[in-house]
Amino acid sequence: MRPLAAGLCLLALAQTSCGEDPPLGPERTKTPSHRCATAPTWEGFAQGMLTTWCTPCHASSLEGTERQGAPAEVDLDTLDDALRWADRIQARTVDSATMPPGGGPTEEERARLGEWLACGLGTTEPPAPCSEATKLDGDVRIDTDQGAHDLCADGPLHLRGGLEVVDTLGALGCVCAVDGPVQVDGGTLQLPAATHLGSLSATGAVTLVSAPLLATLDGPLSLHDAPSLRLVDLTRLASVKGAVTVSSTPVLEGLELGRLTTVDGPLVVHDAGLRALEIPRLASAPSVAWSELPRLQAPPLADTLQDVPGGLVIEGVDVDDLSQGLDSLVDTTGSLTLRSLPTVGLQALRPLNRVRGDLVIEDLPELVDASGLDNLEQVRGDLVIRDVPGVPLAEWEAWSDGIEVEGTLVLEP
Amino acid sequence: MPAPSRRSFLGGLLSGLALAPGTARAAGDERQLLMITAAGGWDVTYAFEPKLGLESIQGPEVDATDAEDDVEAVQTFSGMPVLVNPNRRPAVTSFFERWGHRAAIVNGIWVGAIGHPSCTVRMLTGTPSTHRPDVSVIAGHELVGARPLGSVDFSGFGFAGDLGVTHGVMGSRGQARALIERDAALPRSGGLVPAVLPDATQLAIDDLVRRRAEALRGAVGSHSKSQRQLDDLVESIDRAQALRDRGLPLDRLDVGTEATPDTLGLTLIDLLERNACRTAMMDSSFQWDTHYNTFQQHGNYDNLFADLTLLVDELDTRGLLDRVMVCVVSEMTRTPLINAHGGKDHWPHTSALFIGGGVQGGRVRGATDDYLESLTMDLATGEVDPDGDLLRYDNLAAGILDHLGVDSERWFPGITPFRGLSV
Amino acid sequence: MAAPTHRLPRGPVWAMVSLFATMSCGTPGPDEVPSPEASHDDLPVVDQLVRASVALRGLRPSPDDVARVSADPASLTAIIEGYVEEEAFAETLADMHAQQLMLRADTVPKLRLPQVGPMKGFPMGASQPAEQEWPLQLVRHVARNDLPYTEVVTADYTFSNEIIATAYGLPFDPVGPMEPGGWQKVAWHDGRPGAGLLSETSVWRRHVSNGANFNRLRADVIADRLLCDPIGGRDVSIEGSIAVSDPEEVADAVSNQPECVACHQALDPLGGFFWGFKPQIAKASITIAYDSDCGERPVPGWQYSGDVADYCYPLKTYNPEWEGDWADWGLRPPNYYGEPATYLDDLGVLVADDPRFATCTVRRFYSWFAQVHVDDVPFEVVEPLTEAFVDGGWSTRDLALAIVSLPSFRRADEDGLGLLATRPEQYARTVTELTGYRWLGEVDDGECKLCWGEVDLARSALHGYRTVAGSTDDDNILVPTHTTTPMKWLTVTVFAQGAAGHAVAEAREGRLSWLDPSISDDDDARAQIADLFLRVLSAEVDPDAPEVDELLDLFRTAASSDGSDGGSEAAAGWTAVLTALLLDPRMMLH
Repeated sequence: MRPLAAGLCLLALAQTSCGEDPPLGPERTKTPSHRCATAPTWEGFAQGMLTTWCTPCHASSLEGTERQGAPAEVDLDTLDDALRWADRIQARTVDSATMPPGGGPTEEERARLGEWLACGLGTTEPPAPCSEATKLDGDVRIDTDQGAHDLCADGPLHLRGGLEVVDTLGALGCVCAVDGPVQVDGGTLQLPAATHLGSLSATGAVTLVSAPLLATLDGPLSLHDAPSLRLVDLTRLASVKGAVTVSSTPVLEGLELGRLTTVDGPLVVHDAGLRALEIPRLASAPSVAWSELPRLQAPPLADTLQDVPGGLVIEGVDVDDLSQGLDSLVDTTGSLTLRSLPTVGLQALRPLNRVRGDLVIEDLPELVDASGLDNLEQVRGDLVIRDVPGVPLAEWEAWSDGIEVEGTLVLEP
Repeated sequence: MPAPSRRSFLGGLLSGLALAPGTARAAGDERQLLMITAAGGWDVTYAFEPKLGLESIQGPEVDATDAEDDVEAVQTFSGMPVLVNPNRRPAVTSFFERWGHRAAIVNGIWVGAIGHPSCTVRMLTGTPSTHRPDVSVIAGHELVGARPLGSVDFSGFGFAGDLGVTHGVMGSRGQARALIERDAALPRSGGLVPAVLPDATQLAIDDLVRRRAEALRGAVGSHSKSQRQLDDLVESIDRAQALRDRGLPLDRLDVGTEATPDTLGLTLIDLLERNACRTAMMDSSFQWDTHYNTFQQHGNYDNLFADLTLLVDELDTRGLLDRVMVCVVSEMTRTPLINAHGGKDHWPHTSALFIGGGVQGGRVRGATDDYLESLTMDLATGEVDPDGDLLRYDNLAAGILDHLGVDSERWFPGITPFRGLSV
Repeated sequence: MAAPTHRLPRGPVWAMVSLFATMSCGTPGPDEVPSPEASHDDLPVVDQLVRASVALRGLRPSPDDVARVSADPASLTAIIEGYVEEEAFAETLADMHAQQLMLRADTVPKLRLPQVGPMKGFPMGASQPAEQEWPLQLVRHVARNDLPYTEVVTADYTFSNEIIATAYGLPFDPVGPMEPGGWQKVAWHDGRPGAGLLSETSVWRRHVSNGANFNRLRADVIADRLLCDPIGGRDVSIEGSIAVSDPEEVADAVSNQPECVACHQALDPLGGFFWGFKPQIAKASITIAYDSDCGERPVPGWQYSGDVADYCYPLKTYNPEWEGDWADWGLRPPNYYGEPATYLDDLGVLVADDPRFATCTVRRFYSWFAQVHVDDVPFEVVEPLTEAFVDGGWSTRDLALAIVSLPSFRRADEDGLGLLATRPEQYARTVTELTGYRWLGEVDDGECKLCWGEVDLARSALHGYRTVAGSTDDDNILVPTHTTTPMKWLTVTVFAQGAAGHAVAEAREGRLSWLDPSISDDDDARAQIADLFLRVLSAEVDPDAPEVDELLDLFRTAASSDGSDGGSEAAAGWTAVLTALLLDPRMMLH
């Protein structure tokens, strides 16, 4: 690797696992959504791979023993077939090497197929030109792939009502905007052309939410109770006029919100399989809670977050060194709670000068270095230090002597 | 993985290279390789792996005539069981009687492919890839020293990879001799005799080209691939000049005619003895791909071993047998059973024969089962081991490189070399 | 407020990082997203012209082209676009296909056509190249007429000349319309479906079906060479208890054993399209046939498919009545990776419609022009080129132009391809075009059983120096060497001397206008040397430049030595100068 590329790789996100082969299996690092810009396509790669390795048995024209045991309903001739069986392809060809039965595809080919699956099974078909979108009144419900196909039969659409997508795999490439709420339950939600939605809610057996051009939500974003949700592509989402909730999404490993600058409601990320959490442009949110993120490999990154009036909670985030990520949090009007963290240090809080609410640091059993709090001068609410045995009481006392605490001081390390 | 440029070495070393007739370099640890391919797929049951009395394998015994001495039998030579037939393959017996103590048979090499090109590339390069160099080229390149060439190939099967700058593709009709000995029967050109410039003029041109190459270096800047191309150009001029100045012992070869295997073998020995190269490759030239008449293998083996006896005798006479390892390989063997046409088809396993050059003789390494499938072995010793590993083509290639003094880890990272040649 | 300590970069650099992070973590190729900090210096425009000219045509640009692009760099595109309209571009594609389909295999003895019967009058030096070039005429035709590349698998015609007509019975009208080289477009005469290269006799004489192979090797040629799916290169594990020599057991195994099914499920049905072809027509079979008076006398132990008479000229190589014979062996019916079909022309259409054919074509073309192995062509290069290729109507001209217009071809920095080695085929074509010299040799020695006559030693792998100089032999050496080697240097030295001597001799006879071999005056010599720089190396140099000084010194030195052609000192000097230019690094590399 050229030195420049090597350096850039080192700087890249942990998600990228640059420079090492991702292991196959459920633990494999997922493709970050921004990588999908150059992901393989159906025409350019996936169709050929399925033709080489799959359709000799999984073809609609083959019957009986000709299929060599391939189930009668599992054909992989077409893109629709691949969409239908995407999970099985992932499981049998990417996550494991049980298909094709005699082996064959290289690890690189399997990984590349996985990349195609993770990036929304893209094709080279261009999205509909939204400048010519037809406005459609009323709510729309799609619960079959045929329904998705039929909706888009007549060109680009601007839905004035709401959109409900249930157990559908096909992309809705004609949908340019939805004024009402968008709800998806099961299947996938693929809105490659949509730039604006009323709100977005994904739940149930949904596996993929992809709206790469979506810039604004007029209401909340909610990805909740979605145990199969693996990929969310909202890379251009800049404004959410409501809450952002990501909860109970245990297999969601990546969430790219690189352009998110405005959140009008609570920002809650709870019980998700995220390996990284980065919101690099968010300056403020009414409240922020990051909790139960056991797979996080690096501190949450919100370096432009300056103020959280409703409080910032970081709890149950399995990062062993909270060393960065809050570079702009100098003077917060809300409370700050750090609870049940394995971190050894608190350098992420180094810029923190004043907390106008409570400051609670509780159950940090590995903490040995509290110097990240050295710049704190004032806590207008309560200051609670509890169950932090790695830093002696005397140190806490000496430190707290230099802080103006207007509320109650509790030092019970 | 191309080696760094040798330009800094070449000027002095090549000028000091002596290729005077009869001069033999010190043997020491400087092992050389003489590789002979039995291209087409030999039937290992005709010699290396006796498989008599098995229903599952039809060997040469199937073709027995009424002649009294046409009998297939297992004879042990220096502890090695070899299938012999004094009537059909007497040269096999003669060879092992004379040289069994210096020979090692390696059975049960897993090739894992079924077509000639796929098998050939695996057996010669140790990889499935046609753009990797073969072991003869690698060893020649790594160990070229002061020689004008690292490796020479008369077989037409070699893979140069990126190492062409030290490799000589010699042609099968004396082309190398025609190019190096400018006066030797150069084919006429359309009625006009090609202008042959005086040597001094060509040398002046070579010098000029070198200077022009240096000037071009400046123009291409630090572009690494371009610099390598220029390195290879200048190095090739140097090596070509060394070949012309000192000549190669190719006088046994007639320009325009295909040499017989024995003549070619002696030529390769001449080249190795005179340190014109470190490794050399030739083909046995027999038709081993016996799909239609398996019993052609009799004649092939007899002729092959007659040639081998001649060559090994010659190596010994010249005091080269300790230094030169003869390696005879075939890209595959043949199916256990005879097909409907009286021949045998391709089988993805094979054997190899090694003689001299530090090989511990008198031993058979590896084996196949009663269906001619490779058995696992201890790669460190070559002993059959049910808990061991298959001896794959890459293990063998790595082992050959190690035996010759090349670090195989550099060329086959992570591959366990077969060490059974020297234990 | 403390200054933010950014652990990760932002802004444009971040965008580049993100983009880098999206790519495979090998070295980013030059034709992927450009490095933000690399130089984007392009090669000088004349060097770009030379590279494109050699890549596309195997020829150097003319002095006129050099002058034009030097005066107006914007004319580069138009000049290069003109190159793909020339016959030399068709020759380049023929060279590419010959190598990729392994067709110029003159080292394979059984492919030779015995000089018996009506073939007695044709020396091997003519009949063998005719047979090798026969399928390549279709490639030339497609390039010459800018037909969609899919024609190479769908064409319902072939080509013929006197030799092919004699050997194989195709029609040929000596006074009818001809394509360059004396080839004539004709229809197949024997009922075989027309499917371009898939129907070509020479292709399937080269790639045979021995014994119980049942056309699997031919199927693998299609899969490997046209679809980049090398089925034959996959690992093979054969269950030892299967009697592989028993076709029935094999038929059962390839249908039921998982390890076998993995390959054979695709391979066997693909082979099912080739049953109309004879498994092989080797030299020996023709000789035996003539020894029996074409079957008038019995041939004990005749082991070849079909009648003895089929193996007498004109050879019968296709039997339509055999097309369904796969069924006799319990094999799968023809299908294409699960898509059923029946005849060879069906196969051609299926191949043409297969996206792998497009991507593999792009990879093969890029591999040839960029001198990288087909396995090493980056995905990121292939996909956009493929999309444009297909959307643009499968034009080989457009594809070639797109490739040589890539940044990697133009850049001088580390993102560029760097100097490419001039292939032996390109070198030979350049030298011949410049000097008119062909390196021919009479290789027969007295009584010959198979008489070759005159052989082009630059093109022959068997008698000549093509493989010695680093090209393939299309038999065992399947990958060329893309660098200079000592044997290549020796070869080109001889070739260059011969060509220079020929040019000087022609010039002395007044048949070469651009060289005056009588010039000996320094000023005139300098002017001529400068002109030769332009003509041979596409380099505009001043007559007083140091590089001209060097050649003038060589001229004087050589002129004062004994001349090579009977005493003219100046002629000897010009032979040396021209040799030096033909051996210049800029001829060997481009």
